Amino acid sequence: MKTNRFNLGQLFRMGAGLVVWSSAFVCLYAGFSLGCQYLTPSVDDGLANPVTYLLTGIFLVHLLALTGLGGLWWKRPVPAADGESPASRDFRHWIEGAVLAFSITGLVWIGFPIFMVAPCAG
Amino acid sequence: MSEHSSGAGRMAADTADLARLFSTPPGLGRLAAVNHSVIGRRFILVSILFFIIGGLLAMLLRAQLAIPGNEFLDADAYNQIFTMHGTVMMFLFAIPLIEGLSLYFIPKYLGARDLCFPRLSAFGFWCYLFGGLILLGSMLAGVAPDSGWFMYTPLSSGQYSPGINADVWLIGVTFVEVSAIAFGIELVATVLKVRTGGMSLSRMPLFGWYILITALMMVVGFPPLILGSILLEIERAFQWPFFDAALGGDPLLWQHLFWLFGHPEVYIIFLPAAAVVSMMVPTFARRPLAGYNWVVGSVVATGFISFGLWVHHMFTVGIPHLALVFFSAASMFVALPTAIQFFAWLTTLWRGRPVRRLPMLYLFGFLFIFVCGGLTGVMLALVPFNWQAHDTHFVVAHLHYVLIGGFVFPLLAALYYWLPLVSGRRIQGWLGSWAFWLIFIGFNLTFFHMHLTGLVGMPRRVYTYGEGLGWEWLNLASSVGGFVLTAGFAALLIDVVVQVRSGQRTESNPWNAGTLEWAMDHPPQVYNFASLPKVSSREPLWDQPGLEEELRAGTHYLARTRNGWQETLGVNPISGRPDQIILLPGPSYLPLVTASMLLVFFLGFLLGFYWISAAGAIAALVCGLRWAWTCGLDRDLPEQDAGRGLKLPVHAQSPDPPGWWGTITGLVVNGTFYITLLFGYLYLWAVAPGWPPESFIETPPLLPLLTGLAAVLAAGGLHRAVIFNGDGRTGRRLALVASTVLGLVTSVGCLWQIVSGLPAPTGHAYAAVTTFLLGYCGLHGLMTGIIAFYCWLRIRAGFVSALRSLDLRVGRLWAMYTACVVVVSLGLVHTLPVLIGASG
Amino acid sequence: MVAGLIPFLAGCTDGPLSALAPAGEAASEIAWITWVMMIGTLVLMAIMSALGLYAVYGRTRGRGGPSSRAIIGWGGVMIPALVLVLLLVYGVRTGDSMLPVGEEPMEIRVTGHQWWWQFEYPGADGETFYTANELHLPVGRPVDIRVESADVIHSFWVPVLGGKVDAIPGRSNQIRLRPDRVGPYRGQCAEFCGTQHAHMGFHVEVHEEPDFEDFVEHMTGLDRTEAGPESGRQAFETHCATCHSRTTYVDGTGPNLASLAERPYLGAGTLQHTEQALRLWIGRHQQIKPGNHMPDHGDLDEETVEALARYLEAR
Repeated sequence: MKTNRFNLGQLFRMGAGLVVWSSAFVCLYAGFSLGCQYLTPSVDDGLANPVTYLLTGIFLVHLLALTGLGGLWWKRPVPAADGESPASRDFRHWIEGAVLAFSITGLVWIGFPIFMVAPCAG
Repeated sequence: MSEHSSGAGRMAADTADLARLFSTPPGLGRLAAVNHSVIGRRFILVSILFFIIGGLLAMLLRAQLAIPGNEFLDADAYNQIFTMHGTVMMFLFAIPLIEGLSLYFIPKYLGARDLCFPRLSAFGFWCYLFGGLILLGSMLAGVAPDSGWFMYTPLSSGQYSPGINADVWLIGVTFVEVSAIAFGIELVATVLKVRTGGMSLSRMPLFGWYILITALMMVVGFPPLILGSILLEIERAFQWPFFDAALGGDPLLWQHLFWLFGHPEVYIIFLPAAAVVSMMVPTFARRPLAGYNWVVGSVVATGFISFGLWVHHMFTVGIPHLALVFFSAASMFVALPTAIQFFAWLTTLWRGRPVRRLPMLYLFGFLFIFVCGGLTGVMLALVPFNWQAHDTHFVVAHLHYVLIGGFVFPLLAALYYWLPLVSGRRIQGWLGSWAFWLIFIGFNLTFFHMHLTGLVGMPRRVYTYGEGLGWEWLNLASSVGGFVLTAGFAALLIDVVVQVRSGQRTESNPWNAGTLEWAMDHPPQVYNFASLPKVSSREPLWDQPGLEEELRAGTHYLARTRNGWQETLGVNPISGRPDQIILLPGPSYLPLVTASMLLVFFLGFLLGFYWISAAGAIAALVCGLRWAWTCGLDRDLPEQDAGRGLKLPVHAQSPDPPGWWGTITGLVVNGTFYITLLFGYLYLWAVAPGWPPESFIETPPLLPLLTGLAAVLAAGGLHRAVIFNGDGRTGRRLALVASTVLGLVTSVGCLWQIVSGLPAPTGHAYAAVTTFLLGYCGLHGLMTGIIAFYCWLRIRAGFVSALRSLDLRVGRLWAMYTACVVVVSLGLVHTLPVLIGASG
Repeated sequence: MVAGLIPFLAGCTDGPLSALAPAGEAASEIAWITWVMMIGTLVLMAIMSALGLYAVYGRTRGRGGPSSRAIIGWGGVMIPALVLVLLLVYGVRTGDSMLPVGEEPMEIRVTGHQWWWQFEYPGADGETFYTANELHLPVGRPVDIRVESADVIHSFWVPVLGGKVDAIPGRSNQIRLRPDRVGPYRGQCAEFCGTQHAHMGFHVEVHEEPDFEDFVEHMTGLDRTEAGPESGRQAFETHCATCHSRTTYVDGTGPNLASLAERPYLGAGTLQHTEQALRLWIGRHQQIKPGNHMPDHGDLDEETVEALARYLEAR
């Protein structure tokens, strides 16, 4: 009764990049809200403040996770499901890769304002 | 194999049997209908009725706003009407239409005979109908909801909306959402599991992909609103101050919960419309869609990113700028997957040999209007612009461009596209294109300059306005346009009736499409396919010549009938290799009866008869268990012949029957609900004014420890039962008895903590939300006990064997989920006061 | 063609509530980007429609040209991404520049009520004074508006000066406005707040600096309890004084009426203030603005109404 037999893991892997992206989004928003609540940085510090450091950390950890998934994608293509054709496997590999590329773009896309704007102001 | 290709007389007998087995009984028996085509049609028809009602409401609004200082409607009537217009269009038209469309077409696209849980979709229909009737009835009685379809509290709270109006919204809409959840579970399991042989994920029609993602989004998107509605209704009924700023609640929590649902909702509506576009474009371009992979990727991406946009409805509530920027960025990012889909469609047309038929006209309307809506959406994503345009008529214009352009126009195209299949008659005449031009011109005349109305300062939701503000001719033009638009819809309705009644009979596949639904008879038989196709391409009708005749001749899967079974194939979700025969249930009154019990529950609550309400809930639970009891088999069966030399187990003996996938999806629903609840709990701790409360929970430390232990051991008991059952060892019944007791202990432990350790929930949001959280855990403990006992009964009645273990495995999944929830909740409830409470 | 539309459109964009006729710094910035984006939207709509028509009707359709992947990649990803990133960076910078941080200018407190606005100013003598449904601002210097709510959620919005910000129970929000043109304007509640949401406007007057100082001087400590006819004062005590105040240094559950005589509108922007309108409003406000929280005064006789009106008009 291994999970693998039900292909849940393989299905999950197709969207894994976006799961990491979602985690980044949630952690950035939560880290930012809680950071502003409990670390209360001064607006005058600009970008040199604990909340920005915290968000940078969250950003980098997720970037690292996505890079790791990228490595996995490159080195170890998805295992075939029961009775799966090579074309179908290629398809899943393609989707997994595209989703990863999209997620990395997306992470940078939502993440770069961290380095532009002092948090907690406004 | 040889048996299957035997004489035509044999086949005729089998199709007659199929027709009999899948048919709905006549007369009152119609109430027991479960067939997906029947239920799908009912959803579609009722949602169109609600569309007409919503449209008439819009006409009243436009009539009122046509001139300044109009006295056609008073403020109360106007507020009820605009609230109901939004509510009807969103919850009673758009979502149910999507549901009906998917229920009707998904099995046809996937080469199946029905959905995997036909009774569940029937249940969903009754919930939708009853919820819709509650809302409609309130309007006829003049007590319709009047706080806006977004129900912002405290305006919708007991203090500022003391009447029954807001309760009607919360209860009616929640009832309707039960059907959305049922639909989500149904469609996730169906698309993954109930396809025809050879239909791998990579060969699945895009319709399947779009609906799979839409269903997943509904599974994750609706629980936040359901939670929010429950909390607000409890606040209104019992004064638990979840959203009351004076008592440690926060009105913004409602906005977060509402838009956590509300923004994905827009994509839940748009994706199925894009799905039908993706099905029509290749047909009319006469070539396969360019960039299939790109489209799949962008649909998956949309499914995720659309959950990261919700705060763009809240740019003016005073959240720090960086947070706005996250959401602004995500709101612009989500434009990319949509752009990819547009260019895939354009490329397909450009590379193909397009034929210009009536549905194409509506697709042009979609292109023009939706592109405009998308671009104004990008404008609104820009934070400073949003500060000006938010809550003005600019947004009204934008959202109608998105929803009418992105949903109604594609579906009108789809209406003409699929009408020949459903009615068996060909589309002809000129009225359809006249209707298009009336709708298209009327729409733009209503909404195009409404962008400007907003920018020159007209806010939304005002029942009247004064002269001299520069809004007069803008509004008058919109009202005129609105009536042209209505005339267009009326023309369309007439045309459809004419087409259905007197159109010329069509040959098969009139558009020469490539997908499986056109391989059926026009109109389709109740069993869809006489034999289920073995497919080897995304467009089987283009690449497998003669397929329709082969299917009718019964040379593919499951051509024969036996034992009075209604059969369809179950496949490996990735590769599409058949791995089980799914036995479908026949007509049943259980869905109607269960939904009626829920109606008692909801109506009792609405009218304040809480004991009747509780009785309704218990009755609904009993009905649910009775329903579950009818599933499964009471003996092991050998593998069955599926045609084409294939022998397969029936689903009850498969390791992953649809029920297993349904359970997983159901737990995702529940888990989302729980995570949203945790979000609310932590949100109030961190952000709400008026914290910390005067006192925190106080219990002997042993009590939560023992409660958590009981929950874990209950899961352990069910796990042992599964293991013992698989190995054929004794002891599975004993393990279940232990789980039953432990589940009840968990429940009592949670209740005890509420009663002995917490101050009254009416005093502070802390006590209210903690009570709710512990109550959730207690309810889950109770359910674990009931389910373990149910499993024990199932073993006794002979429904469980080493091969037929689904009951036990479902119970184990539930108990494990419960254990996680109880441990996490108790951990938070008892450590947070120590960690934050002391310092804060 | 698109360029030709601008002056035509500009003619339609005047009005006391128009975000496209800015009279303040933030509003000007936003109006500019609005025009840019609106024109961009029209251009892109034209391009997409042309592409759609070309894909179906075009003569060279389907012959050679870029690969499908190239079209989707450039059209669906690269070009939109470039445009969006530029827009986003611009939006972040602009939004950041509008935040109420840095200097600490004068602060005016606004409280939203169902369905009127209370304004609380720092007075000349360090005391505060109240007024209702009228916001007075000096030209050319920033003012922070602190926005709060007494009941449900409202939204403070003066389109000609800048964006809006919500008034939320339990919270205190801020927005910075910097008018750069003198004149009378209008503000409006933008968040649906119940029955009379439509009639929750306020008058905005941007003054030259000396005039503004005169206004503050005049309003500080203003007490009109004793002004006007005695019969009016008594009627006011009987019917109005529970909620309304005639001194600017005492607030009330209803709008402050000390400076009603100078106000150009009645009932939170519902009526233009004239002699006749005031009398109409006192007696028949539940017909004019149904559902408002002031008890119905339909039973007042004409004489009382007249006395009240004279009392309220006294300066």
